[in-house]
Amino acid sequence: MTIAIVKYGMGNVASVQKVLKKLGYTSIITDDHTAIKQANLILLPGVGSFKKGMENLHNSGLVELLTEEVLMNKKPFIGICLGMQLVATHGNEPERIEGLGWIDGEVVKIESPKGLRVPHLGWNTITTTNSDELYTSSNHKDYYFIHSYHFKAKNPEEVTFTVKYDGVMVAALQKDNMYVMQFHPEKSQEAGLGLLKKIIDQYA
Amino acid sequence: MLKCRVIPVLTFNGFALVKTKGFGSNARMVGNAVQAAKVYNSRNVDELVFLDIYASDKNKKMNLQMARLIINECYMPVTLGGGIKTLKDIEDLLAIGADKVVLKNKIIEAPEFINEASDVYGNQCITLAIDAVKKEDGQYYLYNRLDREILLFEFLTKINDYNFGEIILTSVNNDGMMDGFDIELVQQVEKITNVPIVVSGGAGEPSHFKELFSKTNIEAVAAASIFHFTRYTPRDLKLAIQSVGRPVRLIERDYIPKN
Amino acid sequence: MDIEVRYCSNCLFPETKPDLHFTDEGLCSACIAAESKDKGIDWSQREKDFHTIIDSFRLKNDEIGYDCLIPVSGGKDSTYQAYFMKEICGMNPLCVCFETTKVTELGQRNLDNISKMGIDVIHFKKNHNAYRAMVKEGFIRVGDEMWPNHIGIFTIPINIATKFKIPLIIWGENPQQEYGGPLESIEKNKLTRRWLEEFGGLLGNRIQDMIGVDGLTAKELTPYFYPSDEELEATGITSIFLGHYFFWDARKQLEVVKKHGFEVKEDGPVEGTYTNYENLDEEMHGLHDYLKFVKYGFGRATDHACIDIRNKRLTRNEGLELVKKYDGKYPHLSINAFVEYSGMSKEEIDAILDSYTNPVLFKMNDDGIFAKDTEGNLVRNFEIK
Repeated sequence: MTIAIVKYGMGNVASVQKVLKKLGYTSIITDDHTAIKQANLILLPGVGSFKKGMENLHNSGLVELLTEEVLMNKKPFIGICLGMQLVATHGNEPERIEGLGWIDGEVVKIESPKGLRVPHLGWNTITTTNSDELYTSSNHKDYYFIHSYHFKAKNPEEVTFTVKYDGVMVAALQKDNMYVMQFHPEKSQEAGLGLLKKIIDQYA
Repeated sequence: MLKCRVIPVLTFNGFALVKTKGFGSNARMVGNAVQAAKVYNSRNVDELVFLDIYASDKNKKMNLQMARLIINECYMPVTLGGGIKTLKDIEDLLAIGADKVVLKNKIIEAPEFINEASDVYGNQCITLAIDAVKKEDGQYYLYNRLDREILLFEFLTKINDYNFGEIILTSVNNDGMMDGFDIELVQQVEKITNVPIVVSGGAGEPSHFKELFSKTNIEAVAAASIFHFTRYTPRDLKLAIQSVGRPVRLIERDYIPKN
Repeated sequence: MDIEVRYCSNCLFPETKPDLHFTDEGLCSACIAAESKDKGIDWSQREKDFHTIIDSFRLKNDEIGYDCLIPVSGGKDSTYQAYFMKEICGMNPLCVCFETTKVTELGQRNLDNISKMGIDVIHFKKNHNAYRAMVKEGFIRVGDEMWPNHIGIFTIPINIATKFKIPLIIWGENPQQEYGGPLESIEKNKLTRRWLEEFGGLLGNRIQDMIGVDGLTAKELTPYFYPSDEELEATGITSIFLGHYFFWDARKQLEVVKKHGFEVKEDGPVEGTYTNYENLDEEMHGLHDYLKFVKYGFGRATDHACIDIRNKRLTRNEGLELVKKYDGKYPHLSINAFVEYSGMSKEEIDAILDSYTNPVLFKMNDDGIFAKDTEGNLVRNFEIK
């Protein structure tokens, strides 16, 4: 099995590859269309602004390619942080931008009522109401978050994990073959590695 | 609920780990940075900060090979800092796996660089190092190598308009003294900014952490000497923080005696 | 890319050595301590102080018990301490040995010799499995396979002292004095709890961190937990360094103990240095010393040369030649012994060694592999001056 980590200039691909290697998976960091087509699983990481993320994807012709592979061909997909936000219908950083539109929702700024610091930065507990073992094993565990915008999902049944900060926020979503998460599993030590393994092993 | 973070700091002199007192130039040689990183990773610490504290002085960059060795050992977030002047510097560090970078000297002369950086890399990657020194007149100044007299709170108020993710607030007077944090400093800074603040400088024993977390609204603290030289581990400090009612992240292990 | 490493102007200690300080004139803290050993210290006063202290702990002639406890390893230093307290001070010591990782035959004979000197010895035979788990983890996690030994030699004697209610503990040299340390520590004549974590070579790792390694429980690590502050207070534990009160001269002391049955290695120097009377008790110390070399750029030969330079047995140039010849050679024998002991493969061991090798101090090829010479030794990026 080969995992394609999408390279689009939006940071931290090295950490993801390091973690996948530790878990025993082969991965390549690439923006090459053929390589992505041949991969068994696609992982979209990312840190930075929504606008820049979409721009870079467009410039590499990846929007069409990824939509075809993930949405049409139903290739297994993991999206992390910005990689999760980009699958929304649209984002707002710094202004209203269209996203990939694979999961209905909008990415909005975290409000900061008195006392709440922004960005949401640090370890926080995620909870699920989903009874699938894939999810219960991570229930009530702490994961590392670092973001100033969050995903407001249209369809609650697609929300797998929530986290409490600016009220109850979406921490992770799943729709068919797509597993996307706001937190950084590759930075969340055992809890993070465990969750990644559970997701990827379904397809290994 | 967001947990309070306890973050070990590794200060590097270009080839080895050192520890300063009061930011003095006669730093104490502590040893090997990789081994410290391994120990902290095995302890499941919340984050790690790795700073090359003489890079700017020597007009050099952080040694990327060393930084890569350190990051390879860490499965938690790592912040790197030291001698960052250009966007390429930031890119190099992010490329080897850093999650956040620390800007310090650059922002004094050119604060607009903060926004240049956060526009490209996102504000969550950008951390500012604010070193506070209290002088004989009782006022707080920004510690800087340019020999400029900059009032701290004025500077902070100005800087707060820029777009960044976090501040590491260090008390130069308390650095390495292991005699407690500068609570007054923290309380003042909390009034000025709403960005996450990591408090640093003065940790010596668990009671210092109880004091800090009950007298301020801080959510993150950094320490170094206490881990190099005493019996206390990050877990001990988290238990102290928890005892004053603040939430922390604790990974359960087998029974650990009270010693 | 080459780097400048600063060396002491008198001995050969480099600035990379942990806890070493330099004066403005370029003299290191070990040399300063040695100087004060020669000049600044009133040894006759110190000797008086010593006797005053130990006499306050001495039991009466008709009392049953031990006047003091001496941690021993079977090495020349602790053998001397045992000899000194028994023969010179007329005390009845209890010697406690926390044996090293893999005892050599010579080391065992020297240990047995202490009981032949007329002294009770408790030879603490540790839980082999727990210890070995810590040896491996110490090697992997902090690059020190002797980690459990460091904590053991400091903690087990204290534990036994509290249990046997022997308050006075006699240690040997103050390592900060002989090997250099922060100036404040050199005057410390007592070994307190804090000393263990700050100077005991624990490298930031603590005993609690070993819980869970290989399934180890806290109970299995019992002897390695320091007694509580209350227990220490109740017993009145007072640890003193002999080296604080008496001029420490390893070579002279060696001659004394040789007259009392101590044996040295007859067939050449020990791995990693040029001497034949140090580290005789531990078979795998070569690995330990090599780890020091890869991390900091200097090895045991440097340590020994510096001591000899300070004791005026060698000139700096002579020491320099010895260091260039013997320092930092890849320890083939110790590595083989470690393969056998730990069950790790040579490749795994070398990979760990590489992870601790400082890429600024040693040449790294473009492919990220460290350069080696024909004998398998690392290539320095700096010059020993």
